[in-house]
Amino acid sequence: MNRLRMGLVQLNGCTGCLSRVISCILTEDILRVADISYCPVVKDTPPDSLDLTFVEGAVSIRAEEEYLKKIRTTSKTLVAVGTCSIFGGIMSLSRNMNVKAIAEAAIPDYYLTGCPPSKSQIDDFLFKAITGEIYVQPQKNVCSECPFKPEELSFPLTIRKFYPESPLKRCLLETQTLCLGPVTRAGCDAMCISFNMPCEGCNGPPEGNFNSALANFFSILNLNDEMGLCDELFFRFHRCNLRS
Amino acid sequence: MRRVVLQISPLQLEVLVLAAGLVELMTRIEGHSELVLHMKKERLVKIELSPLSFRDFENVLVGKRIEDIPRLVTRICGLCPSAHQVASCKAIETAIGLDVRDEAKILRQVMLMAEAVRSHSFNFFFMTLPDLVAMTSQLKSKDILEVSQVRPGIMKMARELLWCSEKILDSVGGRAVHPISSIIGGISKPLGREGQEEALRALKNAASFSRLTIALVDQLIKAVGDRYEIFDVKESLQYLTSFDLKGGRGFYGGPLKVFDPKKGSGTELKPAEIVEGGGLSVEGAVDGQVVTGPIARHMTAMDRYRPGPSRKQEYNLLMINKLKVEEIAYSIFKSIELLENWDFSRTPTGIDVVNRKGMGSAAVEAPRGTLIHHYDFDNGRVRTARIVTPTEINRACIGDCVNQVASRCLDLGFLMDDVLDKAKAALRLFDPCVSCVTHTRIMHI
Repeated sequence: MNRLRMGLVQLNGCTGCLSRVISCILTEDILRVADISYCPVVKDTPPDSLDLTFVEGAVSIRAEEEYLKKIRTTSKTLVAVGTCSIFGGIMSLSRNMNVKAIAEAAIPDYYLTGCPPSKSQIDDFLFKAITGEIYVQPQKNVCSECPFKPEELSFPLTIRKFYPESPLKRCLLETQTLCLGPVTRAGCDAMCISFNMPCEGCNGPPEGNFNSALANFFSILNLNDEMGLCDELFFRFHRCNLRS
Repeated sequence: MRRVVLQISPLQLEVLVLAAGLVELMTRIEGHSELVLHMKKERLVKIELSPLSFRDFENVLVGKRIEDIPRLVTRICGLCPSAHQVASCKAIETAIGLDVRDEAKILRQVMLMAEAVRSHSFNFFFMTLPDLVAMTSQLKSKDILEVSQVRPGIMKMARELLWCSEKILDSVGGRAVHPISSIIGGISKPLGREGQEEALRALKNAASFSRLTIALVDQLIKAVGDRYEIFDVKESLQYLTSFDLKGGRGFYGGPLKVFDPKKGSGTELKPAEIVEGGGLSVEGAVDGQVVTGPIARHMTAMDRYRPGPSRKQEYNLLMINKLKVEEIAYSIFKSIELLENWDFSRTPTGIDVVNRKGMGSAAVEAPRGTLIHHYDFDNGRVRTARIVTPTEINRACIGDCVNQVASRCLDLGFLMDDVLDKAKAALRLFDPCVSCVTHTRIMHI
C-alpha cells in the first residue's frame, strides 16, 4: 500500500490548529502508514503531489490566495481546519484587513470545525482518512452534547448577561445568560460549558438552514437593553461567513 | 554592491526580487516569514525577518467588552495562548485593583509551565533539533521524521512531552490550545481531586523523558566538536525577566527586572514603563542589548536547574537548546511540587466587571520570555490595547546574534548556502514567534 502523503499548510493563522494536528499525527499507528510530506513549520521540502492537506488560517493577502490555489492543485484532498480557515475567524473582525474564508479561493473537501478542533474530532478524521472511510461532520448542535438539559425554559427567553456568576448547575439559557450552543455545531463535547463558560460559537452553524435556525433562536430571546447592539451579539468572536 | 538574489522559496509564492539581498523563505519557524540578508561588498549589512502577513490584533480588541478579552487574546498565538490569556487577566485585574486567590494563581502558573513544556518541545524537537543533529551526522532532510530514523527514540520523547503538556492544559485550562479557564478574577472551574491526580500522573510519566532529553542534548553538543564555536556570541547581554517572591523563575510574573551581569544587579521595571516606551525603552534605559526568555530566566533566577551549562558555554547560541530542555524539566518538577502541595477543591471564580473603568498592565513569563499586556478601558469596554511580545523585546538581540553568526561564517569562507543555513539555525534557536508579532509588518532584526 502506498504511504499517505500529508501536507500541513498555514495561512493567516496562529499555528494552534496545526500544532494540534501534528501532535495527533505523531502516533506510531499513523506514522506507520503516513508521512508528513509537506509542512513548512517542521520541514524544509517543497510541496509535491500531496494526498491529504490540512489548511489552517484565513486568506488575508493575495500571496496567500495564490499559495492556497497552488496547494489545491497539488493536493488530492483539502481539509479546512479551524474557525479561521472555515469562516475567517478572529482576524475577520479587523477593520484594516480584508480577511476571507479559504472557500473563497479554493473549495475544501472536508471541514474540521473548532478553535482548534477537538482532539477526538482530529483523531476520528485521521482514522477515517487512513482507512478510506468518508468523514462526516457532527450534524447536531452543541446542546446535544451539553451536560445540562433545560428543564424550565419559558419563552420568550430573557437574556441579561454574557457570563455566569457561579459554577453551572443548569442550562445557561435558564440562568439568563447568552449561550450560542443552540445554533452551534456539535463536536467539542461542550468543552466551554463544562468549564463553566458559555458557548462562543467557534464551530459555526450546525447542519441545515442556518439563517432560519438563527432567526428562530433570536426570535425567542428577550434581550436586555444593556446587552448592546445586534452586531456585538453576533460578531463577538468572529464574523461568520454563512456560505460554507 | 553585489547583486545576489537567491530564490529558494519552497512555496514559490512569487518571484521575490530584492536588489543586493538574499531572500529566503524561512521554514521550521512559527508563522510565515522571509529571511532577507542585505549584502554590501561581500559584507553583511543587515538581516531582516519579514512576516508575510499581518495580524491586526490590537485594533480588533478596541471596543470589545473586557470580559471577552481573555477569550479573544488567546487567538494571538497557538503556541503560547495561556500566556496571553493569563497576562490579559492580570492586566485587567491590576486595573481594577483586584487580587486573585492563591489557588487561582497557582493554577495559572501550572498552565504557564505546561505551556513552556509544549512550546519548548515543539521548538526543540521540530525546529532546532534537526539542525543540531545535522551538524553531527549525515541527514537526507532536516526534519524530525528523518532525525528519528538516525536516532530512534527521539519521536517517543517528543510525543510524551507534547502529550503530557497537552493533558495538563486540557485538565487545568479546558483546552490545550486556546484555553478557557482563566477569567478575570480567577479560574472558571476548580481542578478538583480527580483532575489533580490525572495531571500528576501525566507529569510523573513525562519526568523521565525530560531527563532523557537533557542527556540527548549534552551528547549532541559534545559531538558537534569544533563547529560549536561558529555559534559563539559576545558577552554584552542584559536579561529581562520576572521573578517570583523568592527570586526564582516567576512564570506567573512577580517583580520585573533588567539584570546586568557586569554589575551583578538588577533594575526593577514596571510593565507600564516598557509599554509607554513602545516596547523599546528597555533598549534605551540600559547599556547593551536586552534578551528575554529561557536565557534570561536561566542566567538570573535563583532556582537554576543544576548543573546547567558552564560559563564558557553560556555565550554560545547552541546552548539555548540545553536551556530549553532544562526548562522543560524544571517546569515538570515544579508543577509536580505545586500540584502536590495545594488543595484545589475550592472554587476561585470570576467576578462581574460590567461597566468598569481603569487602566493597567501586567507581565507574565511566556515560553519565549516576558510578555506584557496593557489595557485602558472605560464603561466596560476597551479603549486601547497594547501588547508587547517577547519576540519584540528580543528583536535587536536576535538580529545582532544572527548577524554575528552569519558574519563569522562569511569570514570562514563558507559557501552562501552554508551561511544561510547557519543564520537560519541561529534564528530558530531564539524561537521567534511571527504570529505573536502583532504590531509591525517588517521586523528588522
